[in-house]
Amino acid sequence: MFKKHVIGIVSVLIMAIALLGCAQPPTATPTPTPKPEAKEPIVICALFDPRVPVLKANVEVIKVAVDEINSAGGILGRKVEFIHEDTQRKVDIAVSAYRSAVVEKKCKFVFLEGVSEEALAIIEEGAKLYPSYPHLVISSQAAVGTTLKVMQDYDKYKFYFRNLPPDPDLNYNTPKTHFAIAKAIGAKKVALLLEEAAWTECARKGCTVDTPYGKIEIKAMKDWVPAEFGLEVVYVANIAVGQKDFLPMLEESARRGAEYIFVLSSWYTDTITMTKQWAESGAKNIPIGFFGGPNQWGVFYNLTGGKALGTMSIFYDTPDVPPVTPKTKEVVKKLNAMGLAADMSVHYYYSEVYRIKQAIEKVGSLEMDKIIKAIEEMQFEHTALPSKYVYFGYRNPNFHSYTGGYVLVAQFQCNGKPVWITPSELLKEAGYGEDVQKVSDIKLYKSPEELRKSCPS
Amino acid sequence: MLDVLAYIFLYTFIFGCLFLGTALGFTIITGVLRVFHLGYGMTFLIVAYGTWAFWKDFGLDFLISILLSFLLLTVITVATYKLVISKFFEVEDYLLAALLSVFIIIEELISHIYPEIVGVYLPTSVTKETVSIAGASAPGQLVVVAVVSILVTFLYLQLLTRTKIGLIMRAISQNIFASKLMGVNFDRMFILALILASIPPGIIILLLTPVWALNPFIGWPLFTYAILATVLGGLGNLKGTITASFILGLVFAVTGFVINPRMMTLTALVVVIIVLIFKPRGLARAETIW
Repeated sequence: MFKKHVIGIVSVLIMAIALLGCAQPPTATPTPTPKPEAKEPIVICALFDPRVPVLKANVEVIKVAVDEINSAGGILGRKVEFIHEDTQRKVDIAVSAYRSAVVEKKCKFVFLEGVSEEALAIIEEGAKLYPSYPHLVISSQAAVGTTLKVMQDYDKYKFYFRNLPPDPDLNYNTPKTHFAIAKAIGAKKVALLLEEAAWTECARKGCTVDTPYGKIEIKAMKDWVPAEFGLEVVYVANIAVGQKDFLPMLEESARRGAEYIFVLSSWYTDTITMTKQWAESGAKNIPIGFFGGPNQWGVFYNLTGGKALGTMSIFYDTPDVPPVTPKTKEVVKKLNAMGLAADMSVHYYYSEVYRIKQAIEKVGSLEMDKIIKAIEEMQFEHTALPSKYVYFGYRNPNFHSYTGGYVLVAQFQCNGKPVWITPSELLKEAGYGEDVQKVSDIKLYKSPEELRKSCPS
Repeated sequence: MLDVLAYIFLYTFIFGCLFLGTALGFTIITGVLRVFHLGYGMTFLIVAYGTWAFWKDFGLDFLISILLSFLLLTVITVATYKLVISKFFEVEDYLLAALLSVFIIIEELISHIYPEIVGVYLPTSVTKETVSIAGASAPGQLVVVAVVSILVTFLYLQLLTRTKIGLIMRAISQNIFASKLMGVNFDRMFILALILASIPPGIIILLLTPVWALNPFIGWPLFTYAILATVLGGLGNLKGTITASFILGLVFAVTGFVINPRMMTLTALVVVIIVLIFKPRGLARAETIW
């Protein structure tokens, strides 16, 4: 009996063990493997009024740069997201768009159109936002007041950069190219036609700016041109914004014997009308050089119906542009293919997108304080200007700004072909490469009279 | 000194004629319709850009394009009258706002279709020579503008003084209610006046583009010239407009060549205001078109 019980128990035990042996081992509940962290895009915002052709081109070129960067894999493996906000060129709308960009849309890098009133308002707003929303602002506005704040209170305003020389420098060093050309072509007397706007105050009246990094003292242009170039200033006139009747000042320039007319213009001056009137006025044989405005466009020749023949301008447009860097021609070609023209500001904004990329890659993260430091210390290749002009870190009144200097000036010759005439020794002094120095030659200059006779109509 | 005087004489004539050419149509509208047509500036744009569109986009002959642009202008003028002016005629503030809106709409439309970078340029240059008179020089094209302004004004004066239509227009401008009693068809006359008034600015802009930049916002400065001359002249009186145009031309010339070219428009505005302080109805003695 007992033997039966034992056999029974052992059998049950064996069966139990056998059953257990046949059972599937319980599958281990998988520990969830951590998903790769989704990399947030880097957001770049552009605050511009797209109704203005030059500002529209600025927006488009920033977008071109962003697309190029994304095609090449982004920045640190992260996609760059581009957002455009319309400012309507109104300060209140610009500030509102800026807040929305930084706070809601998480923009880390904000490009702002070059309107000083907007920049002055935005820099104050930015100072409030920066501690909670670290970001950068870059704008090609001229008024020195913005970067003066950076110098006076660095920790509060360090996020702000200007991709343009500040107005004292812009009114002094950059126009020197024109006076060097005037001298080189044999002019002894010049007429100065100065746009009457806030950014030209240093040229019209002279200015003194005290900064923590030094003092700038600029005389009025009519005083430093004779002193530095030995040219006699025979006539000075101010141009009102929106002015259409330029004949009195052109005729007066001719009547007083001017041998070169320099026009300190920007987009506020109707240089198209001025050129049309110049070409048939008593001043038509006087060489005329323009600073900023539509004269920096390749289509300027067409806009004037060919009357721009012989005029000179700071010029970085058309596929013939001298190769300041390998990218210079590329960016111009891309914009021209989109039906847009490349004035200086286009090159400035395009280049700054790449500077940001370089800075982020150097720092390895989006820590804004480190990026700001990196940008200040960086030597950088710019599509229009030599490195020393675009260095942001000089501890002088150009801190966080470009520095003015010699630029490429071209003359519209037959069929509107731009011919670069900045003396090559000046370009060498400025730091432009040999490829650029070879293309530009003052000996290629021709007088307007000669061009009218020799060019087919 | 003599050469400065020569410049002043020459440019008084040129600027005066420019004011006259731009203001002629505006004067007719204010004189006959008694409407301060805030949409007047669009006439410059429609003719200029209409010509470009027909010529370049539709590939038509240039002269035909000009004619078609005037036809387009006529259509838009009639539509503006039917849809805006006749509707808000009794409610002046709405009328002003509506006319301004039409101008801005057309301006924005043109700016969208033909932004400045398109490079719109009309080959309407009659001469590219520089004209020299007694030591003063000026673009020949501006002299052409001046001569054509005088010619068009002369023709319009003949129309107003020697034709039945002109007689009716003068009657309307003198006394609108009496004209109604005489059985004048106002709709037809107003439309005719508007069409006639839109021709001179169209001619002026075509001749002016070789010496002025052509962009979608060119209507405003030319409209300013028209307002200055018309308001100074007496709002709707052609004699007054003619006198005012050459006074303004003189002011422009003296300011430009003697005082400061930057102050030309400002000085003209100040002169207009000073005259209006002493003569609130402007220079004209009568509130009629002639």
